[in-house]
Amino acid sequence: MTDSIFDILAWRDEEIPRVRTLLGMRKFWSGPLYGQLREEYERMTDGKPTPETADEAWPIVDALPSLPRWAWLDRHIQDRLWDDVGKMVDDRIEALSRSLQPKNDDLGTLRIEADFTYPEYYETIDFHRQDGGIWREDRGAAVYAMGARVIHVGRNNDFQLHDAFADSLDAGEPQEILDLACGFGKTTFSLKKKYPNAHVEGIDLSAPCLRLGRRMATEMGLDIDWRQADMEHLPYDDNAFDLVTTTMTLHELPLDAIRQSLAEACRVLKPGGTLVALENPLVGEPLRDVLTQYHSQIIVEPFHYDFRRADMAEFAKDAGFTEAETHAWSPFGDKPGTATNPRSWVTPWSWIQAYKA
Amino acid sequence: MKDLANAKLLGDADLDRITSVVSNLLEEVIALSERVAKLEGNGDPNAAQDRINEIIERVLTPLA
Ligand SMILES: C[S@@+](CC[C@H](N)C(=O)[O-])C[C@H]1O[C@@H](n2cnc3c(N)ncnc32)[C@H](O)[C@@H]1O
Repeated sequence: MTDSIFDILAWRDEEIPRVRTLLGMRKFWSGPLYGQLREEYERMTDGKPTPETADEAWPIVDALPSLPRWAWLDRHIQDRLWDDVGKMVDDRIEALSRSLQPKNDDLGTLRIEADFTYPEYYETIDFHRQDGGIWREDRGAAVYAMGARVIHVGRNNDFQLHDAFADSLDAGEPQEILDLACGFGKTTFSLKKKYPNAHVEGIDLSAPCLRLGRRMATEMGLDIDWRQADMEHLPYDDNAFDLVTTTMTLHELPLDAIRQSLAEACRVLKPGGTLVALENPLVGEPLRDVLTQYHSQIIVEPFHYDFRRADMAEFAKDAGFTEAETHAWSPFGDKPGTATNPRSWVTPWSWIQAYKA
Repeated sequence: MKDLANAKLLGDADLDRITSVVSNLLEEVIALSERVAKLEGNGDPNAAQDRINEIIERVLTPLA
């Protein structure tokens, strides 16, 4: 085996059936099992006033006979994912730590704090049911990186979703770009690919993720700076960046941390700068919205409920942005009607954009 | 003393675990069946996801 991080994390032939089993179970969960819930729901609401909001639908959903089985399979798939992928990473652990050692050809800078204070919610919650989280050791970051590929396989094997996000940005020609809560850099890579001449910097709480991101970026020839930092307390001067992004993260923060992070994003943006965030909203259809909220609960995203009921455009304005708006975003031109057809399960995206005058 | 000879031993939480055992077995069966398909020369990788989805759907049908 080479020391390339991409080779190390690639699926081996004998692992692929396991990955496909997870995907097959996920398909069963979002197909026949969800279909069964939908039928039960339609029977229970037949001839009665149709619930218009998730809160109205909630007691009905709680009484659906198939709900416990749907929830069980959701939880099982998530646990199995980390179990399976954890074993795969254990098989590669030596190659992994060799690969993540600092090297002469490393591109960009990597700043890890010797004595870093993590927010309490981050230290105490194992988000996504991943034991030990993604920040204590390199193994956790690698498990997260391999696991993320299982979830999105087919569409996101090569960061297509994040590339589509960067391609959709309409922020002029930013020179200074900051990606908040960059993880191991999926969006950060896409930003550097879209704006090769800009200075791109990614921050995250997780040092192992940053190490992994830097290695991957180096192998892709992407010169990016990585820094361990809390988005609630950014270690940058005022008016330093033209574009600040954050993808798939706000829903993982408590509301007061979101407010504080938005205020920080606004502070470090130059006048005329833009903040863009990518998120998973509710679809506005009661059954799927209740199930989406239960799904977030099951996979341990404890702040999702409040987040999905908060108006991020308002939050952004409260945080100092002059204008802010949110709209639906369908990167792959989802099949017409998928979002509006309640019989199909969807993962919707929303685009949050705010400007600083 | 409990009557362990006759009491109903497994409760709801245990059922969750047993369902996990069954589901894990399903994964092992799939891993093996893919190995067999490969050895027999029937393991078209492009059709693997469909083959696996079919097994899963057959086995998990009682859940839906
Ligand atoms: C779901 S991941 C998203 C990663 C990446 N943005 C992406 O789109 O793939 C959430 C990330 O937020 C980071 N995070 C959570 N709270 C944070 C905070 N207060 N400051 C910086 N990063 C944070 C986590 O370490 C994790 O890497």
